[in-house]
Amino acid sequence: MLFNALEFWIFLPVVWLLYFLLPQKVRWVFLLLSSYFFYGFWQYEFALLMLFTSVFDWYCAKRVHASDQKGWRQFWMWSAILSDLAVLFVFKYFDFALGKTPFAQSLYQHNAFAWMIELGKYVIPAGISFYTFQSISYVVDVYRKEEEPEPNVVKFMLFVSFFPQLVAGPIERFGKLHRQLFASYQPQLEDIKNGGQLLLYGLFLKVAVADNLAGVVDSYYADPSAFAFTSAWVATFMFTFQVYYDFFGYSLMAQGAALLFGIHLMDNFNKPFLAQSIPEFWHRWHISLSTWFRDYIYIPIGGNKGGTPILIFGVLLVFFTSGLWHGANATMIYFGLSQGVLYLFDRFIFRKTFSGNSIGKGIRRLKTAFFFMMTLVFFRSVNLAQSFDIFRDLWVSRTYCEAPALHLSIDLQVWLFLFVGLILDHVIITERIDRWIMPLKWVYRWFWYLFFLTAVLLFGGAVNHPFVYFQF
Amino acid sequence: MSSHSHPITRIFYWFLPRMMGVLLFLVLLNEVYKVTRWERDVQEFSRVRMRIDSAFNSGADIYLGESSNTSFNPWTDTLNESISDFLKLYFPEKKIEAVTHEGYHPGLFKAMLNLLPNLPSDSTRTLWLGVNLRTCGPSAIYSANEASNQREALFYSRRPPLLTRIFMGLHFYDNRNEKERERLKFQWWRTQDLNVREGLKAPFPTALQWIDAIARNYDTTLKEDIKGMMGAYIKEFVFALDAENERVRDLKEISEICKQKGWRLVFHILPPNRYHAAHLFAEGPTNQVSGVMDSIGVNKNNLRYELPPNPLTAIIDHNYQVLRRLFFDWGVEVVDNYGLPEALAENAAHKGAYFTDQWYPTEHYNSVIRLAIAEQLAFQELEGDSAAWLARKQRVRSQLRQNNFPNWDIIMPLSDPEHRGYRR
Repeated sequence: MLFNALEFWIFLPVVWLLYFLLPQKVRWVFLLLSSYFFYGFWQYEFALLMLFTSVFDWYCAKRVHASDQKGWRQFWMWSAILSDLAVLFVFKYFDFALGKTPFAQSLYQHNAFAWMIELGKYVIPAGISFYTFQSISYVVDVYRKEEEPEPNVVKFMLFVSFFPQLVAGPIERFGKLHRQLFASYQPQLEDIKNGGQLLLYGLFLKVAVADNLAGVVDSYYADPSAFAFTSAWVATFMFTFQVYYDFFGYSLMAQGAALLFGIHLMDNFNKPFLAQSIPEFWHRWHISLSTWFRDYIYIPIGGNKGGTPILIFGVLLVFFTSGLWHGANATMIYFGLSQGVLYLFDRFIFRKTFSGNSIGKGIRRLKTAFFFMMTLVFFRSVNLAQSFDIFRDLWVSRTYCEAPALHLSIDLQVWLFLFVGLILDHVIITERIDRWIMPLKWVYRWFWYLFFLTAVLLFGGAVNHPFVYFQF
Repeated sequence: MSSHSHPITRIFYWFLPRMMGVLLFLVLLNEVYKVTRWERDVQEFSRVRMRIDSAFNSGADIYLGESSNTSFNPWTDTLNESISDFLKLYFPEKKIEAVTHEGYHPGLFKAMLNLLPNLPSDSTRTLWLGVNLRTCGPSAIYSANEASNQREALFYSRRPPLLTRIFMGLHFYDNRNEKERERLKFQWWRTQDLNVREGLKAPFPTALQWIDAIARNYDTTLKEDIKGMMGAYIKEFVFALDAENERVRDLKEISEICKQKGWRLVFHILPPNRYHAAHLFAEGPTNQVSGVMDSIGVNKNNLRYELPPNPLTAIIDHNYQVLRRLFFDWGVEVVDNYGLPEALAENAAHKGAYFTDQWYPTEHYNSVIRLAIAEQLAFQELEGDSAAWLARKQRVRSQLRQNNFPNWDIIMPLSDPEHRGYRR
């Protein structure tokens, strides 16, 4: 079930109401069942997969905690990590890595394996990378003795499957989320108002801004050669904000839905296009993933304290993994590595450039946004050949270009909602939407509510574009 | 309200007036939408909704069809009228309206019938509906176009326009994407056991094994492009049809809706390209279409060729028989054109040349078959009155004027024995 599907808007109030009508003691059980229903609604097999990951990781963490010897503790921790990565490999990377080999073809002859290969090849379990990383972080935290293990496997299953953040994060840590999930809580009007505002604004960003942009971007990427070369710039610019508002919108909705149950999820974005460098950008974009990579890969291999070669290796490894995490495709590896290279450039070469005055800051912001935008060509292209074709169109004009320019065929509403989104997000709303809108006079508040509602209901993109990060 | 009441109660009382206000706003928004953007959305996202409204409310008989109704061969056809156009020529005294679009199927036709008016008991209006066997197979059911088809079907309803817009914007229809459908297609080909149905004999237990065998070059003499087409024929036609098939259920529901609304329903079975199917997989004589020819009154003495026996045509024939039996059980009127191309052909080249797509198994016919189908429909309409039918037929044929100017040098490559060669 997706947040931009009507089913979710029926599911959410029903679950909310039943949750608070039930006695406090059993609420979490109901929330767990609802989360599995939410996940299995699309494909029940995927719920079984999540069940396996949860139970196995819970057991390994328990054994980690019970063992005194470092060797056994490491053994159980690595068992959990490797089993999680194996599941991830089978359902996400198998087709990319081995799909064309005789081995894969021989496996496909057996029905027992064929369904898995088909699932991995065509569908990929929603959010598998998100809940796998969340579950891994728990096992590692128990290994590091930063967290006590959860004695009840069913309660741990809720930590992995909590539906608002299940399919696209934020990737929460056990200590923070688990405590809230089982704390005593009565519904608060304030939380409902804030949650509703986050849900509505997130839906606006997704449906009215991102989905309308997606229509334009898709038409370009379906056949870039059918458009004049200037269209590459328009499409690249639009995709940058499509992916941002798509994921930012989703994250706000996840926070809003969780808040209805009294649970505060972390902010996943913090105005990334105001970042003055790529390192800063990754502190503002998909924060829960960046911090996960920092805590579980970058720091363990040496981080900033291991000297320059270790730092360079660490950064490139993190961004290579990040690229692969984003998708089983060579383009995603290029996306990750190009981010890594830009990160190192900013860290070592452009560190002091244009710093100081506000014009300099502006230039640095533009430069950061521009470089990020360029790397998104890899992110969106279906293969490397298409990426390079688009780079050619971006930087080398084609000699023959009687094809129509993309910007001429874009509806006014696309520009309008993009403009409103940008102004709201970067100029007007200085904090999170709920903190900004609540102090406004009721007339202005309701103006915005009805504006968002009208935009969603009358101008939402007609083609179904699942959340970009949903497939990761 | 007591301060000790349940928090849900307090929230409910806070929420209620606001909810009422929002509902009022939505009612107003619906009116605004109706006069501003509704028509534009209908035109953009529902290709035939306007046409349905005018046809259904015109008092006319209706012809519902997909691409087989209108497609013609621009290079070899001298006429480009559709089946429904020919039918109109047969019955100038009747008002006949057609609703046609490529890729339509019984699921969409069923949705369209939401807009079909109820008829008073003394009124009789006919609804002809072309039934394409291939549409019941996984390739069609899980076609990549299906999400946009299902989105379009949202508009075949009398619900408030804003609600339709909300359903579209929040994707409240079968919106599975291309990849999900591709997976289901493969799952069907991989798992449906072809040999469990009585009377069905397939050389491989599943369609996927059959496709795989062709890809693995089990017959090394076959040309590569021919192998591609063999694969396409298997993908389109190799499935075991039964009453539980999604499209068959749609057809059944269509027959029930028409009964309820007082319409006379006529299914007419469209002929698949059995000629290419037969020659792709085997050669030699057979009598398999004999029964079909009998059923449509073809004089078999005029035939110079008969189709060779082969597993693919056997499966197509089997599915056809299943469908016929079901139609009989439901008590639906049927015009059976299944064996029409074979019945009309004088030689092998003509049989294949009737089909305008030479490289894909579509039911796209040249004017000979389109006219013949219309004649069969007319014959049924005249309740088998041969004299009246012949008189109309002569009149229609004398009226027809060439309206397309083809290039006669173009040869239908797979249908010309001199050019056709499936093997190296």
